[in-house]
Order: sequence, then structure tokens, then C-alpha cells
Amino acid sequence: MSAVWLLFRNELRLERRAPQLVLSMTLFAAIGLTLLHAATQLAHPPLTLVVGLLVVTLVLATLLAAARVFTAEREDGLLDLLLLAPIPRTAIWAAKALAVLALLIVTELVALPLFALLYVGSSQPVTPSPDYPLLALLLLLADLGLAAFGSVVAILASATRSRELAVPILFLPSTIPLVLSLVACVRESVAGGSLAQPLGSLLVYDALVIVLAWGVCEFVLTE
Amino acid sequence: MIVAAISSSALKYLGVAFAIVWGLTVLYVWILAAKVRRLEQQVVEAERTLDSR
Amino acid sequence: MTMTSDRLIRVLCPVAGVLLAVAMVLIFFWVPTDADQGISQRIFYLHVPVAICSYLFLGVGAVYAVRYLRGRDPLDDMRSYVGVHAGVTWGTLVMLTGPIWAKKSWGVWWRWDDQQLNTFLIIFLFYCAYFMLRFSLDAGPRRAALSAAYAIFGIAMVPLSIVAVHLSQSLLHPQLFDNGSSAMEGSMWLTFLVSLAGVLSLAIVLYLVELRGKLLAQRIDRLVRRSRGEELLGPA
Repeated sequence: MSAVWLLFRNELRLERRAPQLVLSMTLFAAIGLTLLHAATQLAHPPLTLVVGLLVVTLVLATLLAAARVFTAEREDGLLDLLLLAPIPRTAIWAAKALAVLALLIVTELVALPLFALLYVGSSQPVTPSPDYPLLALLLLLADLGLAAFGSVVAILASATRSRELAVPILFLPSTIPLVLSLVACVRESVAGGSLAQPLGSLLVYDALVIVLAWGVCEFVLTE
Repeated sequence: MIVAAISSSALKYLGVAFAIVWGLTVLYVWILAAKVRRLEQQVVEAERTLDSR
Repeated sequence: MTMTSDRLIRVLCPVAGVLLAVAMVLIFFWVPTDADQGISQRIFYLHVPVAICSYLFLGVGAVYAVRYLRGRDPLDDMRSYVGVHAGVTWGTLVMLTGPIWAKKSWGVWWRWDDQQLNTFLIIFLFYCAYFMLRFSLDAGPRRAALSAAYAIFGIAMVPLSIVAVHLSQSLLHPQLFDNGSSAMEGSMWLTFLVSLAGVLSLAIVLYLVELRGKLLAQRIDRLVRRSRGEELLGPA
């Protein structure tokens, strides 16, 4: 556990020193939200649609992290040193997953106010207005699954010859159930239905992906 | 009974077409399997001659 | 292994031929036309067995992936790969026959509120990406381990997709069609089972042949390298 914390803090220190990913991910989210308007152009865009597109933007932002988060280790031979160190391999994955999670949360801290500004307080507001605590909770739940699987994909892709190409192809299909469940949550809350089922499915997704990633990362982290 | 049922000509042609396609597929697989079997024997022989050299 | 696989191929291949021929006769000339869907319902006797084969071989791929990670036997890696390959190949057939049936019986090529269709699409896309991963890695233990890990993730995708797809439609839209299985008559069952047995035996033969072909290619590769090496050592 202390190894995870140590590695995670190291990730944050590196990112603070040269904030490459934070900046590109938040900028990506802002661009995404603008593109989103260009793609819909509705007088009263339905909330479910806009939240769905927001989530897709965040899923795509995860790609940026997944494509970068392991390249230093591979290119500079750091991974070999890490694997020699007396720490469990799961700790290396867990630290990376936490780093991706932190990046996603920071991205959303920018994206959510921007969403409120552009899509709730604008001349063409979404209908109905979003339930912000619920939305934040849903995005946080989505982040867990995205970070867990995104970091596994980062490990897989960093070993391939076609890194940047492999990341989206390997990562995106698995996010379809996540987006489906999340949008179902929003749709049910708009319709006034019960959230138990879609929320449960989101939780099951997170749990299953985290457990599988935990179990598998020992085998995929090789020199 | 089956012979009596063969009356709708569209169905008849479709059924025959499907049967031919499946038949050719199975035949093709059969040929492939025979080819693999023959190549396996050749490889075994080649390995043996290489061992004896 | 080679002996039993050889015998299995010799037996199952003619069996597949006979069963498929009988199935064609049953499908096109014997089984009564479905009262609701009409003649187009006959594609069900091919589409569903093909879909079952696809799921089955994806499962085989995942089972051998787990076995590979446990035992590190390169043969298990090959079995897992051939399993996924067979699953995706049969899956392509599913993706071809599914929309044809949908168009004939529902009037549309695709239904976003149909569970089977959408679950299958997600899993199909996931496993297509498997090849992207595998072919951008060099052969060896690393490729085997990474492919196995990805294949195992795919199995988790099955329940996750089913639940998520189910949620995306059932709460607001009523399920319009119940794919007919509730009212299947005895003759329909018989036809379906014969067709399933035929397609399944063909699929097993194809799997075995591909596996043996891949193993053969490996052996030839080794042989060629060995003979070159010995030629280099020979004159010295």
C-alpha cells in the first residue's frame, strides 16, 4: 500500500513539474464541449443527449492519458527498474490507475463548470436543468472504471509497436456498456424513474473492471 | 411427405443453393485437413533426415 | 493430441456434411412456415446456431487464455488465439445474417432496442480489437500474456453488455418481439437442433484444422531455422 502511495505521489510530482497531461486533457474537454454544440445545434438540447456527449468527450480524454502514462517507463527503461524493485506489480498498476483517476477528476473540475456555463446558463439551455450532485456522482463512478481499464490498456498498448494506434482501438469498445449505463441513469432521473438498476449496473461495471484489472496486471507487466 | 412438400419453386432453388454452398464449404475444409495432414508427415520426415545428418 | 484431433476431424467432417445437408432439407422443405414472421423466419435455423458457435468459441478463447496465464504453455496461447479467431469469424457471419433477418421481419436493418443485436455488437467490436493487439506484438511469451489478458477481459464484457443494453431499452420501451422461442413447435425444435449440430461440428472441425495449421507453421519455421543453423555449423 505504501508502495502505491509512493508511486502515485511520484506521478503527481512529475505531472506538477511539467503539467503536460492535465493541460491537454482539460483543453481537450473544452474543445469537446464546443464541438458538441457544433454537432447538435438545437434550441433546447435534451439533457440526456448532451450528458451522453459530455461523457463521450471524457472517455476520449482518457485516451490521451492512456496513450501517455506508460511511455516514459517503456522508452527510458524505467519499467525494468520498477519491476526489479521489491514492490508488487499490482502496485505499479494501482499507482497508474490512481494517477489517471486524478487526471480525470481534474478534467471534470474544469469540464463541469464549463458545461454549466455553456449548456445551462446559455441562450440555448438544456432541458431539463441537470441535477449537479447526481451528475458529479455519475461522472466519478465512470472515472473509476475508465481509470482502471484505461491504465491496463496503457500497459498493453505501450508494449505494442503501434502505441497511439492501439490505445483507442483497445480501449473504446469496453466503454460502450459504461456509457450506456450512465446515460440510462440520466434518462431515468429525467423521467423520474428509479435509479437503482442503472446505478447498480454502473457499480457492477466498476467493480468487475477493477477486480479484473487487479488480477490481470501482474501478467501484463513484463519487461 | 418431403417430396410432396417440394413444390414452391423459389424455396426449392434457395434450399438447393444453400445446400451447395454448405457442401462446398465442408469439402473445402476436408481438403484443407488432408493437406495439413500431408504437410505434417513431410515435416516429420524432414525432421528425421535433419536428425540423422 | 494430434492423433485424437486427427480422428475427430476425420469423423466430424463427414458428420457435418450429412447433418448440414439434412438440415437444409428440413429448413427449406419440411418445417412449417412461421405463422407470425412468414418465410423469413427460416433464417433463424442458421443465424442462431452460428451465433451460438461464435459465443462458444470466444468462450474457448477465454478459457485457454486463463489456462495460459496459469501454466504458460505456448500451446494454450495458440488454442486461445484460434478460439478467438473462430469466434470472430463466426461473429462476422452473425453480423451478416442478423440484419437480413431484421430487415425481413421488422422492416429495418438494425434495432437499437433489441438486446441480442446490441450485446453482440459490443462484444464483436471488443474482440476485433484483440487482433489489433496481437498483430502489433512480436511472437513470444509477452504477446501470449498480453493477448490472454485482453481475451479474459472480453468475457467480463458479456454480462456487462447484457445488463447495460438491457437497461438502455427495457425501462422506457416495451419489448416488442420475443424472438419466437416461446411458441416453438416440435418440428421447429428438431430442425433447429439438427442445424445446430451440423454448424457446431463444422465449427469444431474448422477450429481443429486451423489449430493444426498454425502449429504446423510453427514447426516448419523451427525446422527452417534449424536447418540453416546446421548448414552454417556444418563446414566448420
